[in-house]
Amino acid sequence: MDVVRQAIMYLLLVAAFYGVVLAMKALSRVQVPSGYNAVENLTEYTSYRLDRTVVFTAWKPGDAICWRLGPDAERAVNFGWVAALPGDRVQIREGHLEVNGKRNPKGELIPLPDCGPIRVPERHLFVINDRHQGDSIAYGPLPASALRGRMGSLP
Amino acid sequence: MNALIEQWGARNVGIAMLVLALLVLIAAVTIGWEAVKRGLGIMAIDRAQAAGLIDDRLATVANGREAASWLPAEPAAGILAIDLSDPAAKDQLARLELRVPAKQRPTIAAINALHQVHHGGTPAGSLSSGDQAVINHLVKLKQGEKPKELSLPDADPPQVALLTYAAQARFRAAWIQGDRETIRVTAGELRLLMPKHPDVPGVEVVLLALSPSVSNEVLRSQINVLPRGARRDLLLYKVMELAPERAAIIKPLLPATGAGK
Repeated sequence: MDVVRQAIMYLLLVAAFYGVVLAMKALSRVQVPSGYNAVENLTEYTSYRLDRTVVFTAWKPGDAICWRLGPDAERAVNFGWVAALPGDRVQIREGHLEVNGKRNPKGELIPLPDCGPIRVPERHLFVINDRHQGDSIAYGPLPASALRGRMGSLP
Repeated sequence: MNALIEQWGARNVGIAMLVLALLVLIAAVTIGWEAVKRGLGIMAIDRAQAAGLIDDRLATVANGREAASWLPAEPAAGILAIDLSDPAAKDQLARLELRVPAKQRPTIAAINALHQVHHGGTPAGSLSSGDQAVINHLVKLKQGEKPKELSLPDADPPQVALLTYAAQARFRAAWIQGDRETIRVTAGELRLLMPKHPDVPGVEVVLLALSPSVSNEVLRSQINVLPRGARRDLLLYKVMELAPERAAIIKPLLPATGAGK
């Protein structure tokens, strides 16, 4: 009986540890780096809530998102919105991004002539920010491994 | 415990506990080593994918190889380590296909099919509908067909390696065939899908020159991004041939040939 009681206690301890780890991932925060201006109204050094528990299939167009373009600090933090999911048709028409034929309202005019459509590849997202710095207009569709998490909100 | 000692003797219980402790230690060391390997492998995958985002092919393959050495059964690492131009990649893919879990095998099969197409073969067997559509399209391009629209199923997006390869092959085929509108369309696809490809600044010049809505000033500033040299001049001659209405802006940027003296 003692063995069973001890086993249950250890299991509860492991579950509690896992719960704490999950809570830390869900409630973590990310700081806007110095000089970052790809999204309007983001203040440098301000921290925002970042949910790192989001699975790839849970992303929806319009979600505020944080991603990284590389392991170095300079490219580690980028903000914007999900514009298109895997399989969506993305094109540029008259300086605006269109996803499956519908105009995406986010971001400034894109300095490119009409191009596309392309399909967003499997396990990739097309992300966009106001000034198209470090987003999919500049870097192409982002792989799932580059996504850091869902932001609570962006101004 | 006392009951056990009474039944088996203190020495035997001690030996049994020592053996148990050793087994636990071995398990802990094994789990720890696996965790270290996984961590190092994931860091190498991250570096490879970051290099992939800026289209640094050499760094992608080098980091992919490092990742594959830490995580031999991880398809993401194995795929990043593949250099399609290397004929030995066929054996690498065959080994990888045996190691990865069954649900990951279609991914490897698609890369294998791409490798065959790259080396002039026609892959047999069926892939997921999106991947298969890209492979069929590539086979037709290799047979010299014009790059028509790449029609893909809505529900089954192809893998990125296939789409990027197809975008490059489509632009190359259009460039060789010389049809202005097809070159413009495929240049736009390549620009959207692979903006950091080293050849994209040149592709962007082509796209801008062939788009009537673009002003000469915008085109000139993009041409000035290209490094001067024979490569740029060749590109500009071809662009001028495709878009004679841009000659006034391009001609002064080309070296004087002495013709007409």
